[in-house]
Amino acid sequence: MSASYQAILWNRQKKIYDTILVSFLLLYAILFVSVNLIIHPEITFETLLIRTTATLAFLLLHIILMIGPLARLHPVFLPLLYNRRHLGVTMFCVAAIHGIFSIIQFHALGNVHPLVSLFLSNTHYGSLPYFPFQALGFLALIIFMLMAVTSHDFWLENLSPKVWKTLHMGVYLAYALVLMHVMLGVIQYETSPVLVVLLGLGLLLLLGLHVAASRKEHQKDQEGFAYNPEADGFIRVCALDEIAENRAKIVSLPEERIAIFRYANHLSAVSNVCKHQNGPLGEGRIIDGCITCPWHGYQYLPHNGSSPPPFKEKVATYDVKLVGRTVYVHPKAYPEGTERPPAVVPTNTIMI
Amino acid sequence: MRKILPPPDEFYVGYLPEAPNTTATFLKNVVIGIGIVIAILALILVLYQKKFSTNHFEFGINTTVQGYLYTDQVPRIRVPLGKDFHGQEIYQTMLLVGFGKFGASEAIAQLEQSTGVSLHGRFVALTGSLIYGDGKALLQIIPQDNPAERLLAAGTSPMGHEETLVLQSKGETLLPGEVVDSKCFFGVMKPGEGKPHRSCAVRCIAGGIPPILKVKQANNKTAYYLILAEDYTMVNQEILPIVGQPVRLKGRVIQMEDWNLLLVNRQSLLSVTSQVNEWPGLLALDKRFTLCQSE
Ligand code: HEM
Ligand code: FES
Repeated sequence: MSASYQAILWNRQKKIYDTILVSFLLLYAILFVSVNLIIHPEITFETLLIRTTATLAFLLLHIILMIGPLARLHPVFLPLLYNRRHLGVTMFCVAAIHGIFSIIQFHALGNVHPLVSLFLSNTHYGSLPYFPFQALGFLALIIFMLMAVTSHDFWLENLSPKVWKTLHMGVYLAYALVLMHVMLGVIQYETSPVLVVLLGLGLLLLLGLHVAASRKEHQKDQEGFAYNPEADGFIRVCALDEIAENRAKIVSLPEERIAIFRYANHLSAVSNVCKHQNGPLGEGRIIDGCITCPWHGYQYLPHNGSSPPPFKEKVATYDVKLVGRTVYVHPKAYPEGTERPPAVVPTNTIMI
Repeated sequence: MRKILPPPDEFYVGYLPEAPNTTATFLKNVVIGIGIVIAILALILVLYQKKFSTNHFEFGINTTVQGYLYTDQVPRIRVPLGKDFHGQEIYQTMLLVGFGKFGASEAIAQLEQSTGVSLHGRFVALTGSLIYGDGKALLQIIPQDNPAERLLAAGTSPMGHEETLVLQSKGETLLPGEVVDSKCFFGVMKPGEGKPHRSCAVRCIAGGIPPILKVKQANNKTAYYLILAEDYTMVNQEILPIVGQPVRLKGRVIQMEDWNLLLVNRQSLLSVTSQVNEWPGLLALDKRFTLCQSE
């Protein structure tokens, strides 16, 4: 939650995450290299390096792209999301070894500059089977690089979350580029169908998870909520008992989503969208009196939507009222960080 | 699904030291699962690669060979191996290539400068790194490895009568195959052919490394043809657009001892390759073979 640039904050969870990540990299690389040396002793060092890093980076890319929809499908996967950017930066580093080494191997020590050679040695840009597949890999690598260097929250703050998010959606474009890089590259040379099948399975898995996650999201939005404002503009939300202590109810309005939190005999409503990376605040909890985002744990005070000092993030707030045991919210958003009095829950209505 | 997933009221906060219990257990299983999948994928990817050639590049190892140096369009050294049954000298011709993606002509020019003599036809002791496979051999030479005294130590006699080259015409044919650069193909890179290697082959051939037509034969053996124009000059630039893809080349086959030459018509090669390179060359989409007519 820092607006200024700080080195990455390490904590125990991140350390566990990174230890597992490094072990997986080593497991893959050691297996790939050693089995290759046993089965294909005539392989060259360069090919071994290029292929180990290529396949490893593409594998990591699949894992990265699976985490988002998995976390939306079930919160148990949220811990994988928490530190996903380390995974992203690692994937970029591995892909960069592959890309840079390929440029050296295939384009250096020639009669033109390696980067000129990369784009102009093969000029069949109008042909599918002969297409210069390496140029696609290069573009993907540039996207990964932009994402990796802007991955720190410092950039999120400076580029504005919207620009940042758009930039980071580029990962899907990069995935498509890499897929074509492989299809129009080694697949044109290799004879085994197994590799194409694997690529297809990877694509299906990613598509399947994304479709399932967006379906679920869509269903939630549709969930029997009638948008019928009363004369005073308030909307009926639900019965008080439907909101558990320290949890929220998310209301999906046509334009926005509002999270109504119940905590210590109070009800407060804030925008459902976390300032960090648009995480769903309403799926979070009240911890130590603060709304805590389920994605990376950014915190906000429920009555004014502001992060506790020294942090500066603020979200919009809304008016809430309780009539009998029914919760109402007013859809008019107050400017981010505006203090609104919480609705008070009479003590005798607390259910134990 | 419900059973294996932890209850929804657990809440994970990344910066707290401990993850909630059931979440942690569940994720431990997920992590073990991912580990197993990663290991299996590594094995599958290794097992289902296409086999690599046994061609070999003696990287960093120098070997000295003695033979007749030819400094013409295809720089090469013709190494006498001994006499055959009929008392005739047998030769192995090693193509010469330079460092990186360059032919040997620059290196040879430097050698001629340092020795101060014309080297064409001379018997020399040449030092370089061997590249070999499938009965063919190349030598990568660097001027620094070949000081004048050592190079000429083998003797300076011009070629004798019995050493003259015999060329045998094998007639006109149309050969299906792939144009590769001899240096990478015979051992420097694996794969040194096909789509993944195409741009590299283009760079190498553009840099003067002899292009070769590689032809799969019915008996599963491979035949190799050094590609030259009908006047025995290089066609390295003209051939670039069809490198590394299936082609048929028409030309006259000439046997030069242990190598075959394929002499193609420069004009028809140009007309075909300029078509291939046309923008947008969508023609290439359904044309598996590019035809090079020599007449
Ligand atoms: C400058 C950028 C890049 C260049 C020049 C490049 C070049 C190449 C080349 C020449 C090959 C074929 C090598 C072979 O014979 O195995 C290849 C294969 C491959 N590349 Fe790239 N690449 C680049 C970027 C990337 C990126 C960013 C990825 C993403 C992860 C990637 C993933 C792959 C994969 C998965 C293969 C197939 C590996 C295999 O042979 O099994 N490449 N690349
Ligand atoms: S989205 Fe990252 S903490 Fe909310």
